Amino acid sequence: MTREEIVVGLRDLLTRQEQVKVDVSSITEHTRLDRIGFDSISILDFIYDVEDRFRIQTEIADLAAMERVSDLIDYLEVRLVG
Amino acid sequence: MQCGVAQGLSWLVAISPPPLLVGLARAVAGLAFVVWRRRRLIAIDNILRAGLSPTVGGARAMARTAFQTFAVMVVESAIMRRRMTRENWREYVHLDASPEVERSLRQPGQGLIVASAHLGNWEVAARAAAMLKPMCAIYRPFTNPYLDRIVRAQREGEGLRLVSRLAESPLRFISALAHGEIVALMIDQHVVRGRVAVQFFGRPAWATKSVAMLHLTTRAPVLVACAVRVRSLRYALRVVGPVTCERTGDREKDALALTQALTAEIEAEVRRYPEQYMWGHRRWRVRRGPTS
Repeated sequence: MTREEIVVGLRDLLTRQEQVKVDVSSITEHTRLDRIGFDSISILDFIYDVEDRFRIQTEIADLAAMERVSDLIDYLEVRLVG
Repeated sequence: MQCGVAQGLSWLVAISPPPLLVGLARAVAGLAFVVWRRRRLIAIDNILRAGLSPTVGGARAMARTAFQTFAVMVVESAIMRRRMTRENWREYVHLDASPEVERSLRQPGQGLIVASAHLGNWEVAARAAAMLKPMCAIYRPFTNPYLDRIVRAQREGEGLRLVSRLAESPLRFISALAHGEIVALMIDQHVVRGRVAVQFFGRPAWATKSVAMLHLTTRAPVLVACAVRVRSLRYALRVVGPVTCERTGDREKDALALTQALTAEIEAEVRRYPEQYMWGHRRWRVRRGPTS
């Protein structure tokens, strides 16, 4: 899967998340995860959907280290290609 | 005024002998039961609908005991905050858990999720568990920020931090689990967001799906824990689990299945100690479909 496909997939998932109040088209790779509109519980719904969409199992330590959307994209790129 | 009351209670606990405080608490609760009509009626109605008493008189007696138990819990929590330390906590709290559960509580670096309820003394439960493993307890802050700060400072302790689910970064609880902490949450109260409709005493009730989602995304083990009062200043910390759930790919279905399993464990504990449950909360408010 290419990076672009990952971005498209994530954008689609973000559009489906009820708790995301910002305009999804304004979210970039540099956007901080704590600026998207998630709280500490609603982000769990998103992570579940990411795992399901991309068919991966995330690791707690990797999730805890993420700050920006780019961190998540990089992570998925490595897991899906490597 | 609220801050003054909180500070005043703290001072009273510091200077008064425990039997006097407990007696005072029971008396105040008895009066509150008479005066606070709305909560009294909610408690009696809840007990009747739960099928725990066949008569109104029996439900009323149980409700009164529950009011008094709650007041005693508040007082004994304050006393235990001053007395219980890492060195002596086992004098006050007996850990009632399987060897597997005890191992997971003692294993460094293993994050755990704990679901609890307003049964017995949840403050003591948190403090005792935090003696074994650092704990991040998710709580609902008071609207008054000054009162919240005072009460939070009183409730936190060795290895125990209180964290609002709203005030922290989104990955806060995942980070706590990654650092081998316990993330604890009460799951027996009505919520308006992030919820599923479970069966509690045979009737639908909204419950937070937070614990379920935390487990489904992190795969950290989930336990259910409650500290029931055995006698004056003595508790049994009952811990069961791990409670598991098969992941099907249907997020809401999985959240419901696990939350229902956790609620069933809570219900079993409440049935064992009904007089120690906080019955005055309007628990059953489901009017619509099963998910929201």
